[in-house]
Amino acid sequence: MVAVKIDKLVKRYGELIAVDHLSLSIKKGEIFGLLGPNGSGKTTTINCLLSLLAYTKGDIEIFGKPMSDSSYDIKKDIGVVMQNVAVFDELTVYENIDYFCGLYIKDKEERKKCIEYALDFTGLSEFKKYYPKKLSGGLLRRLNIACGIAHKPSLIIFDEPTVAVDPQSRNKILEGIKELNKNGATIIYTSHYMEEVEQLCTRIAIMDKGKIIATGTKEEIKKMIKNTETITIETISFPKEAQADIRQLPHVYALECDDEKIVISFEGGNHNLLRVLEYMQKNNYSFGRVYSELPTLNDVFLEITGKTLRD
Amino acid sequence: MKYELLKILRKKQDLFWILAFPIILSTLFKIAFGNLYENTEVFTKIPIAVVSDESMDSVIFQNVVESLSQGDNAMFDTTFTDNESAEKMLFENDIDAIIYSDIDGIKMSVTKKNGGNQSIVKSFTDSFIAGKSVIESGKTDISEFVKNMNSEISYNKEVTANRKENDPYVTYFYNIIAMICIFASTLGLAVINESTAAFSDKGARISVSPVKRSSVILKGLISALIVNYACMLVVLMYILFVLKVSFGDDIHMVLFASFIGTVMGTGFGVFIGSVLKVSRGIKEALCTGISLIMCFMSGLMLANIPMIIYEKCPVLNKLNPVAMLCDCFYSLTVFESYERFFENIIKMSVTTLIFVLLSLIFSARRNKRADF
Repeated sequence: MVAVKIDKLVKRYGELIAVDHLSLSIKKGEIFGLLGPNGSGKTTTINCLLSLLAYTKGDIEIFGKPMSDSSYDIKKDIGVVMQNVAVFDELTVYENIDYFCGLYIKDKEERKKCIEYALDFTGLSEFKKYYPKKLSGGLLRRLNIACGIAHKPSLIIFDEPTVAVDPQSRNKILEGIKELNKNGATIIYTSHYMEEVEQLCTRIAIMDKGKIIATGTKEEIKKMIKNTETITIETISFPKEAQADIRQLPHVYALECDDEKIVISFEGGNHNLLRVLEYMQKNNYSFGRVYSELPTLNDVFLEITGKTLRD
Repeated sequence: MKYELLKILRKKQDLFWILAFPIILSTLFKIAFGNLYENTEVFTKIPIAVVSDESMDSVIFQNVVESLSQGDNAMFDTTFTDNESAEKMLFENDIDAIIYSDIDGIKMSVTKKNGGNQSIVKSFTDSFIAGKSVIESGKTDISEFVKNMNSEISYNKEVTANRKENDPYVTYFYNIIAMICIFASTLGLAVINESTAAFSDKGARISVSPVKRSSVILKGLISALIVNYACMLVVLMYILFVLKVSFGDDIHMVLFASFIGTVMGTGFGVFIGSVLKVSRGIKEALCTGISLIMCFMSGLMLANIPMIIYEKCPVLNKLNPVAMLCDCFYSLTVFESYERFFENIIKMSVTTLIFVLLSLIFSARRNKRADF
C-alpha cells in the first residue's frame, strides 16, 4: 500500500526551478531516504508534500487522498520533525510536548500517556521540567523530535534531524527512528549525510537540482554505477610498467597513481584484492597499508553528477 | 489557552514594557509632579490685583473682593496695591488681571495667558456693577451679595471653560495607560509570528497539524488581550491607590476606553506582523519603535507635543491611534458631555477594523513557506 505518492511535482521561484517534475512513491512501512546536497530541493519537496508551500504543478497524495492545506483528516496522521528546532522557549520540555501533542489529541489522559511515551522514547524524562534554553544542542534536537512524534503518527517526516548533533545524540536519534518504524510508522528521512541514509533507509532517492537522479535500495543504486570496488595501496615510486600490468588485471577499469599511493577501480569481479596483492608480492614491490572500499552513495552521486554530495 | 497565557506571562521583555516600565514611569511622574501638585492648590484661586481709591464704590468693591478671597474655597488670591506694582505683577505674569476701582467705576486690565480666568474676572466685575445698586439701596447686605456672586461665578466658571475640576497632571498618567494599550501590539505581533508558517518553524508545525490556524491565532490574541488588560489594571490600581492620582468619577469610562485601546493595540501588532515581509527582529523593532513614536507624538514625554502637531500637521494627530486614545481620556477630564469620548471610541474601533481587515487579507497569503 502506498503511503505517499508524488506525481510530476514542479516548484518554481520565478526563473529558478527548485523541484523539477519530481515523481515518487513511498510504500507504507518504509524508511525512505531523500538524499542530496544542500539546495538540491529536499526541503522544498517536503514543504510541498506538507502543503506548507504552494507548488506550480503536479499532484500529491497521502494515504491515497489528495493533500491540501485543509486536509485535516490526513494531517492528524502525520508527524513532522523540522530541520530547525521549533519549540517555545517560554515552555518547559513537558509543556512543549503537551502543547504540540494537544494540537492532535484533545483527551487529557490519552495525551498524558503520549507525552510520557515521547519523553521516554527520546530520553528526556529527567529533563521534563527544563526550559529549552537550558538544554544542550543534542537534547534540544531530541525535544524537537518528541514534539513531532508524541501523537504517534503513522507517517513521520524527518527533515535533516541530526544537523549539528553530537555523535551520542545522533545514534540515539537514528535508533529511535528505527524503533518508530518497527512500531509501524512510515518514515521519510531527508539528509545530506549519506552514511546515515545508508545505515537507516530501506529505500533511497538521490536528488540534485530538484530532480531525482537515482532511486531504489542502496544495493540497487550502487549497481547503477560502473565502480564496484576501489583498492588503495600505499607505496613509493610505483614504475610505469607495473602500472600497465595492473591495468591488465581482470575487471580493472581505472588506475590513478601518485608518489604515495595507487588507487585502482574495479568493475565487478571477485577476489580483486587477492589478485593485486599476488602481483605485488610476485614482482617484489614493497607496499604499506592496503584498503579495499565498496562504493558509497557519494560515489554514485559523483559518477552521475560529477560532484560530491558535500560540494 | 493555558499555554498561550503562559507563553506571554513568561516573556520578561514584553512584561517589562507593559507592566514594569509603566509603573516606573508613573512613579517618576508622581515624584516630578509632587511639588507642582501642592502649588496647584494655590493656583486654583485666580490671582488678581486690585487698585482702588477711597470712594464709597471702591470701599464696597474692596469688601466684596475681600470676602471672595477668604476661606478654603476662595475664588481670588487678591493683592491690594498701587497701580505701578499691579502693572509690574501683571507684566511678570504673577497675576491674571488688575481690577481698577475708582470714582469713575470698575475697569479691568488682563494678560493673555489664561483666557478662562479672565472671563471669570470679567464676569465678576460685570456682576458687581449690576448688583452694586442693590447693595447701595440696602435691599441686601454684602455677605448675601457675595453668596449670590459666588454661586453665579462658579456657574460661569463651568460654563465659560466647560471644564471639570480635575488634576491638571492626570493627562500624563492617562498617557501611560494609553502606552500600555498600544504596547499590546508586541503581544499581537508575537502571536502572528508564532502561528504563521511563513514567519517561523513553530508556525509551520502548527500549520501541518489538524487544527485550524485561525483558532490558534484567536486563542493567542484573546490571551494577549487578557494579559495586556490585566497589566493595565495593575498599573491603573497602582496609580490610583498607591500614587493616589485621581482619575475622577469616570473610571468606568477609562476602563472601557482602555479595553478598546488594548484591542486596537493588539490589532496594530497583528497588522505589522501580517503585512510586512521582513524578518521577525525587524518587525519587533518596528513595532516597539512605532509604538514609542506614537506615544511621544501624543504627549507622553512632552505635554505640548500634540498641540504643536495640531498646529503644524493636524492630520498626524487624527491618524495616530495613541493620540485617539489620549484624546478619549482627555475628553473625560475636560468635557461634561461624552460626545467627544464616543467620537474617539468610534475612530479607534474603525482603526482596529482596518488593521484586522488588512491583516486578514495578508495573513491568508502568508501561510505558505514561500513567503518566508
